[in-house]
Amino acid sequence: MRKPISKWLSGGCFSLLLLLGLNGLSLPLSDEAVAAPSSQNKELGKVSPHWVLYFIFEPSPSNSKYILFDADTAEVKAWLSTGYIPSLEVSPDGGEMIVADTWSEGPERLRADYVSFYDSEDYSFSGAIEMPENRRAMMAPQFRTAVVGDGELFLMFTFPNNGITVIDTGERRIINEIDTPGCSLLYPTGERGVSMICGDGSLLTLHLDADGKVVKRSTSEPFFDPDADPVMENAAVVGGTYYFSSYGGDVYEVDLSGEEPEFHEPWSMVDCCRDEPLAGGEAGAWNIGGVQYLTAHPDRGELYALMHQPSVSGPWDHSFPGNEAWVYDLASKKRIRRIPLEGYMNTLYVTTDAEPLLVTSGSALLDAGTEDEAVDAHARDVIPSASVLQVYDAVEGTYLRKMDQVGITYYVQAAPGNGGRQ
Amino acid sequence: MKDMQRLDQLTDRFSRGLARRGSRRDFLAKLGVWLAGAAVAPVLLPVARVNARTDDAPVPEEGDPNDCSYWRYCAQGGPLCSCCGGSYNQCPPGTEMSKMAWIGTCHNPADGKHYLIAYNDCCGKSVCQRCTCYRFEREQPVYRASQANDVHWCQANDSSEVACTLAIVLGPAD
Repeated sequence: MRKPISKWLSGGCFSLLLLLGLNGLSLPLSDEAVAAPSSQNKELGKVSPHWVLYFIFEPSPSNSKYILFDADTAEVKAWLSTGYIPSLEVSPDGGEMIVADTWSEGPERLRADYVSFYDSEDYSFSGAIEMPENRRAMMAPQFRTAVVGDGELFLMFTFPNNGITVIDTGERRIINEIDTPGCSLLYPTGERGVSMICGDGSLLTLHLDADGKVVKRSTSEPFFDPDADPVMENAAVVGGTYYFSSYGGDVYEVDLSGEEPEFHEPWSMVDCCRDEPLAGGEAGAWNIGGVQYLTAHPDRGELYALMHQPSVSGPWDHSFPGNEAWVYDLASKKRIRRIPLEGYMNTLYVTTDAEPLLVTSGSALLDAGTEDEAVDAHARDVIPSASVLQVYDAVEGTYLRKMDQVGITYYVQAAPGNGGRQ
Repeated sequence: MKDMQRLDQLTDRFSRGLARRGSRRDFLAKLGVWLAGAAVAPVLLPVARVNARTDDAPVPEEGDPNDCSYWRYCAQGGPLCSCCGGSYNQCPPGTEMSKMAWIGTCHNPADGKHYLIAYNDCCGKSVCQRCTCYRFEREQPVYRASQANDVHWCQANDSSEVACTLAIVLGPAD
């Protein structure tokens, strides 16, 4: 029987090698091989405001990733390996990333949910909690998780039981389960609260204590008509105000900074432009679409929307990717810029610094062939099979750089240290 | 288990009955009320639980079931099982039908009628990656989950991996 290599190393042979090394005798190894054990990992250093995280979706449960991307150089800096359809939150101090995801275990590919913790300094794993009920919501929208109470509590939307799992981030354990029948997703509200969209167009708002117990629960009147023109789930955030768009391009502003939601009068992103002549000389409407279709720059007071012309999807084209970014001044609610994109994009994100960059992902025209071919491809499959990350100057609207072969990119969000969602 | 099967059958019959009697809005409203009431039952089902096995009745057909433009796929969200060893209403061998589904309403060009379609996923094997098809007719956000194709419908099964997606006729919608 062969002796295991670990026993071989722990026995006399390893001692002999060590003794030879100490005595300066040459070993039959190259300089590189000898030097390798003492090499260090590259350090990330100070966070740049142009660093973002982008999420790569892979159909195989163990191959999804959150990748730290430098939009100044279009280079990868680091990444987290995650399970299926993950959701990532950054602690308020930026020091920790918390990921809820799902793995498949063994040949039967049995579901196993986890909430995992990672150090933002070196993207290393620092611990995980096994979710015994395997109830985290596996669905595409953002806002499936939230961090509230200055980072004390991590909230996870559960489905199909529609509820919230509350995790104490300090003790790293589940401290409560809350039922929220008929209501979905998690939009942080007030100091330690969260609001959820219900099927009738109302908001359920919960406020929690430090132990994760519900201390106040209220339901608003419906603020939109889900039958006539439903709001889409992925909102842009400025301060505590959330900007939702409906399928038809109406913007619903909901202030969640206080104890109760405050709803503002909706306004249209497309009414101004419905009769505007298009490039081909035809008149027609533009509409919002994609996967991550709204983003905002809080200091500039700007809302960015991913827009496209009428598609073969007809009135149900809310998932159709966009080939322009339209920029609105939030104070006047007027469109102030149009940024043509080099292809059909699913994702839009603007950095929040004084020299903002627009990061977008999808299928580039050059990769997809002609524009007609690209439109046809998207009509059949809005999730790009070969995608590209592109970077634009968000103020000038000029195309700057790209990174190819990035996989299926769903979302781009702030890197740890660059603030929360916007 | 028998209780679960009976609940599935009841839900299936209930949802189709409601859909036939009222508008889509009425159907959802009533379904929501019924499901809220189900909270007192041992199992809470906030979304349509569809355990369809094959089509209810013969439906006039035209078109290619291996093509995304086929009429049943008007709110499809995944690889077509018909390209992956199954058919539009049968899972590939060795996979397990999802315990939940979303429901679309599609126009059948062969007879001009609208039908309720259950989009069950087939679970337990890695994704087929052939004939991927996404369409969004009448598709709703996830807070109206029974009509959302952005939801991963294998998540109530022991394995949450999606192999492909079916399109089963539940019955006429008109």
